[in-house]
Amino acid sequence: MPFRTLLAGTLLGAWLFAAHASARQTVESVAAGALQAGTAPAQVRYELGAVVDVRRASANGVSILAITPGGAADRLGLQAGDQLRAINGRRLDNTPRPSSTLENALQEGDGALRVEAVRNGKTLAFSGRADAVDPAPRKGAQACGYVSTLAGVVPRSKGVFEAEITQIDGRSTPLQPTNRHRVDTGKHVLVVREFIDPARLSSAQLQQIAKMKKFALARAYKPLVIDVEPGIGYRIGARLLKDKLDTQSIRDNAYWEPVVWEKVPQACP
Amino acid sequence: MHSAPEANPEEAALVRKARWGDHEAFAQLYRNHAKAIHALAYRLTGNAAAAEDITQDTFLKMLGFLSGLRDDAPLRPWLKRVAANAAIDRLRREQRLVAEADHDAWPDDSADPTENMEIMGMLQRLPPLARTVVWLHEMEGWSHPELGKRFGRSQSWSKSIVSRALAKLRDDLETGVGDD
Amino acid sequence: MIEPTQVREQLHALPEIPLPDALWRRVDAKRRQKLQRRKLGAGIATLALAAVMAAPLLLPMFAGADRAPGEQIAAHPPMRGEHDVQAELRALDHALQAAYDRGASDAEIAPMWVARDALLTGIPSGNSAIRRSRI
Repeated sequence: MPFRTLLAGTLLGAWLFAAHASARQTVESVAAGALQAGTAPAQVRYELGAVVDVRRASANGVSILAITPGGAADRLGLQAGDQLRAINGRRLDNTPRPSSTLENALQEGDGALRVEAVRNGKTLAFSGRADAVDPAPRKGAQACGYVSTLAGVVPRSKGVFEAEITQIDGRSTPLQPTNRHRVDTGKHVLVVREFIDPARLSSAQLQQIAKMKKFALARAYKPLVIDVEPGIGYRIGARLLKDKLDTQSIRDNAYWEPVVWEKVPQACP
Repeated sequence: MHSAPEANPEEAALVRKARWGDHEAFAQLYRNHAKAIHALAYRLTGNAAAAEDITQDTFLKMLGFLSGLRDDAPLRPWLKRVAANAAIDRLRREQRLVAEADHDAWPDDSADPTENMEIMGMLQRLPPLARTVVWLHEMEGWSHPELGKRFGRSQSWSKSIVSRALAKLRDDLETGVGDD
Repeated sequence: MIEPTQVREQLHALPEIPLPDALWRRVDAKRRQKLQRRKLGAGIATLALAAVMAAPLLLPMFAGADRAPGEQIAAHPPMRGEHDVQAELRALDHALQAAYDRGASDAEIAPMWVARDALLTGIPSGNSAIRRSRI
């Protein structure tokens, strides 16, 4: 076992050395390019096709939490649980800003993807092509739709109440109430919480809900994935599930669900 | 089988490796424990297909990170508990289908389609619920409070089931009814 | 008079139960399936989820699951095209990465993991929101 690691380490060392040398040059050219970025046309973006916890970097790098099936990481043979130690020559271990380091490393490769990862204590090397994504925003009436929580009047008679969208595609929504959010056509991930009229719930139920939120606030927020069609506004609410108001269901946060309660035509500018 | 095994660091290492995808580690653990787990599942359910399902589910559960199995805990008792709980759940689901005319655990006919009579031996003469409770108490060492809780009943319910079951088995032995 | 200990002895003396040979192949195949799903991230992230949902296994997506794992789900979710599922998975993974990029807390990110896991395991996320969101 130790011999194999030694051998792998030596080969890896040689490879990394070569990679570092070229990476240094690449970093400089990218930096120079960034200064002129204002006038540069939108370039292709390169992606890994994985969810990586870039909030903190350990001695072995940053952890892959999930692999997008069919994406670059999947094709390369990376797995959830692998720790990324270097990408395209850039090291991710103990780096103070893993998020930007990873991003830069991906873009620098110009589509090439060389990964050094740690799995079960073993160092592995992967190489292949990154996924190329065209970031050019679509223009025109076919480009966008809207999601909103404040427009229109929720149909309370149908058990639908107000909701709040706290995140769209992983980004926080502004704290001031926004009438509507403009989004590109296509799929979007919303995180929603309910503003069900307390008058509709008994005090015991309200207490139970408060307890649940105190115990694990994360449970109070629910995901909703919507497929936005062009020129359509989606009205998001929270439907109260009357048959799920028992104690256990409240604990499980099963007493409500986010819904699209109406779709209205809303032209894109 | 009755001594409380201590946590075995070699085994804990096997479990860790198996969880991270090591095939041989998993195979070794299966070799070590599958017979015992399968046997327990069979005794409790009296049903070969159920015993296989439960064995499979139990070993897969061991691979999960959220299984509740801690590194320092001995594996076999944990596997047995998972298997027993699965058998109990199955039993409770089946029993819900039976008309709940009486809360008695002793239906007049042990209309349980127990397979291989020889394997089940004298246990076959007990209705499924009683069989499960008795086996878990007598052979696996579950306490009455544990059994009561698991079945959603009281510990005195469990005591009553066990004593009646043992009495019946004793009677059968005395009168020569049952296996062999 | 037969003593209780004799009953126990008889219980101990019951014949051994043979382990079916074919069972191993089945278990092994299921193991591979489980690891394949986990490779795509169905399991790892749930560790983080468990911490913030404050009850491992008691995730909202299993709310109302007094059915046992493996038992048929009565309300069968509509068949979804492979392409559709892939698109949704990509959207979720992008959203998740954006959240990590901005340094979001586990609690903020947890609901999106719930959606991803529900998608991967094919179980509706405790409510029909994901289904109803598509018209």
